[in-house]
Amino acid sequence: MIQAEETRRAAPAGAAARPRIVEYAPEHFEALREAAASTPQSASLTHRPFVDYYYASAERCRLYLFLDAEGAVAGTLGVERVGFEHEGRPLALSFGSNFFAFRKGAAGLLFMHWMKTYPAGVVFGGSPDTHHITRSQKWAYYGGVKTYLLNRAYQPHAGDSPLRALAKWGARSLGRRVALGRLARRVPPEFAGRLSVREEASATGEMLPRRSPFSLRMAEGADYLNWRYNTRLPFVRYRVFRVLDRNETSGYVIINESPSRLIVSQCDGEQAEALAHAVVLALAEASRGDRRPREVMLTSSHDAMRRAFEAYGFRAAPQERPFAVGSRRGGVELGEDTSGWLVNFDWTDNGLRPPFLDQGRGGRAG
Amino acid sequence: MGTETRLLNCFSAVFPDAGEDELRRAAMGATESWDSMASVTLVSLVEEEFGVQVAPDDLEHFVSFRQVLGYVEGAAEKSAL
Repeated sequence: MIQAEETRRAAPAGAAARPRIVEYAPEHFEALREAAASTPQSASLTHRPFVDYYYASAERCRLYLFLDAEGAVAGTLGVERVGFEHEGRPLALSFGSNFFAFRKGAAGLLFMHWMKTYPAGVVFGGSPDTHHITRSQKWAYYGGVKTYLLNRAYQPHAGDSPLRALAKWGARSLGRRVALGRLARRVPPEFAGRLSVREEASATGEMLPRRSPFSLRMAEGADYLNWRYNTRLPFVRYRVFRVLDRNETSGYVIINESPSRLIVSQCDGEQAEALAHAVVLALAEASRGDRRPREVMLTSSHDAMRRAFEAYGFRAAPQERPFAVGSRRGGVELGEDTSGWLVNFDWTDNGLRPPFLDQGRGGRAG
Repeated sequence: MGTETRLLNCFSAVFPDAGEDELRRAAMGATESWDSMASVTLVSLVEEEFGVQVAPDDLEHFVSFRQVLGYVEGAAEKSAL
């Protein structure tokens, strides 16, 4: 959440005379863009194809706007309803995203609106200000959710010292990169003979696991997967791979592809270690024809999957990604042990960040 | 204790450095220390003090002392009916 300079604009005809919380609709986009352009952290909200798709194309996902008396956007909070399964039982949760205050105080009311309107919330990632609020509400924080990287890109940042920038350039230029296509040759023999992946145009119900080894997992159907990880979007490219184990479908892997990076967006399967190897097979398939190995990013908290990824050369980022779950009544108790969970990176809007594919390299708003 | 005094106590807990006149004039955007944490705390304190559950649509009132006072007085009238 960002505290930015106050953003004002002329009141549109018919605007309410007092502040109000509204669901985003396409007619709000210009006011939203004006507010979101005030800070780089909210840049994704200036990109209309993303905003209109993620927040206005499915009933389950909404962007709430706090409009001031003049109709300017003073704060935003996205909420997406998602079905989970915990210890074999359904668990209704809601992901929070794009939590920003363009005027001090506005985001707090949007947070309360979320807590009063939706099932228990999840913040996966999030800014220090967001966690200031969730910690004050005694949300439960779950450790062990690690971000893994392969062929780390060491992106330069504007605030880097010359020495740090030089070190990053050296790491990018001289660092040993793993050709993803070759990873397939390193799948252990007990899995290599039976596992394969096949790219599909979209997800289907038969790809969903019939039984699960995971104590916590997102448990949505093919309709959800084909909305959230739609393979035909102009601003992000998702690729769906069916996982076959002894020629039987046993899961799926969805990859978010950009020119410089592959993100393992979402995967699920009937056996944890086999799923990790299937992820690697999908990455090898997705990178076929690459001239220069791309960076790969994924998250994992599952013991067997982490060991498998580490054996391929994936390295955990130094800082864990915060995973907090809570409601108005405090934290949601899911047990302390996350080593049996299946947590994927591209939940909430984590894989939907600028520059989007339909923007220029400068990431101009569309 | 009257409604206004009880509400002043809630505001005073959120903005401890403000005097009574400042609390009566407190408003989001005008009161420097009114940030998102203050909004969250204020809603919780008002719910606790007045024994109400603020409906999602009524959160829009939590932008100034005067508006919150109007909301709380209205809620009291409704519960008295």
